[in-house]
Amino acid sequence: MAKRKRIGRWNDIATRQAVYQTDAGLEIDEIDHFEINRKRVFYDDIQLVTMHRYIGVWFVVTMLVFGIGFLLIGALIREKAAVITFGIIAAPFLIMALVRVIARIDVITVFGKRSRARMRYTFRKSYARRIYAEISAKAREAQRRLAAEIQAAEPPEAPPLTDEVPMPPAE
Amino acid sequence: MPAARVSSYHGPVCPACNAAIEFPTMRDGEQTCAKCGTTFEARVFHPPQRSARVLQLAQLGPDGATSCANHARNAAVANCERCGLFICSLCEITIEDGTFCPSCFDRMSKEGRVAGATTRFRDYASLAVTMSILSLIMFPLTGIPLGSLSIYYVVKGFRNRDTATASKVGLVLALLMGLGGIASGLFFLITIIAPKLI
Repeated sequence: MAKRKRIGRWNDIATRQAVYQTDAGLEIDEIDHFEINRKRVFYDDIQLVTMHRYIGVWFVVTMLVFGIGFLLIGALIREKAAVITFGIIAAPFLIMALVRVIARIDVITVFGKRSRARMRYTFRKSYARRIYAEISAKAREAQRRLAAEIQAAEPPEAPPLTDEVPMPPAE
Repeated sequence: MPAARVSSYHGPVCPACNAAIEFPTMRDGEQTCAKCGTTFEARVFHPPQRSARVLQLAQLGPDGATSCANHARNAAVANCERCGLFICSLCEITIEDGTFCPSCFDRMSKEGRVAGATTRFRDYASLAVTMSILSLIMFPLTGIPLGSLSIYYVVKGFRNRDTATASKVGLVLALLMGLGGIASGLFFLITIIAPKLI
């Protein structure tokens, strides 16, 4: 089996995916309990590669709700120790919300003919850009090679028919 | 063998909201989704279409070729290397191991003998990690059996490294936790259970 390199992940509430790069394309391993479902997007099948940034409003809202909630609990108890304790508990939630708003998430989506691969990067921005460029370049190269192969396999054009039909030599 | 999942993939859509996009007219560069307003960078490709050239028996004459076993009008271009069936270029499936007819390829991929066609794998690494954690948590009862099981899965995980989701470090960690589970189970057995039995 071809050697492969993990280049990204896509995890949410319902899905856990790891994306690997091979010589022929991308392999998407979807982890389903103790089974792995593998899909592939081959470079010569890629139709579209996109990259965009998003914050994830629901994530930020959830983190803020938890963070502010813990701060409120500490404030309601009105004891110094409680305020400090709940402040410490609330801090990671507020920091995560702040980091998400500042850093945002870079998402690369690769659309093939039959399946797609998605990867997200929170901190490694330059790596994400490099992967985006690399996938695009490899797809371009694979499709150029395939087009050349198809063209090479085409039969040579038949010679055009002429009006003059060669006749057998007269006896 | 579990049934394959039905995919609902229909081609390129907006990467943010999955709304339909005008893909045929799309060009390289920045794009904006008409529905959600997300701006995204796009590289558009037009993958070339492979087409199989099928030789008709009529083109070659009755003495020129043999007909395909599945398509009587098509001329055979190869033999299946597994069953010997004459096959045309429509039926011909060429993989690393040779050329096969569709039914043989189907059987071989179901048996897991075609590496590139396998799409479902057992995740031994996750199994190893889960078993080792359980062996540690419930060591008085399951420390020895689940610890042993986790070591078995670690070995399987190392043997199937290409399908494992955990890294080498994860597998080593699972091995250590599994050994810890066995050791804890043995310790519990020797120091607490054995004296009471004797």
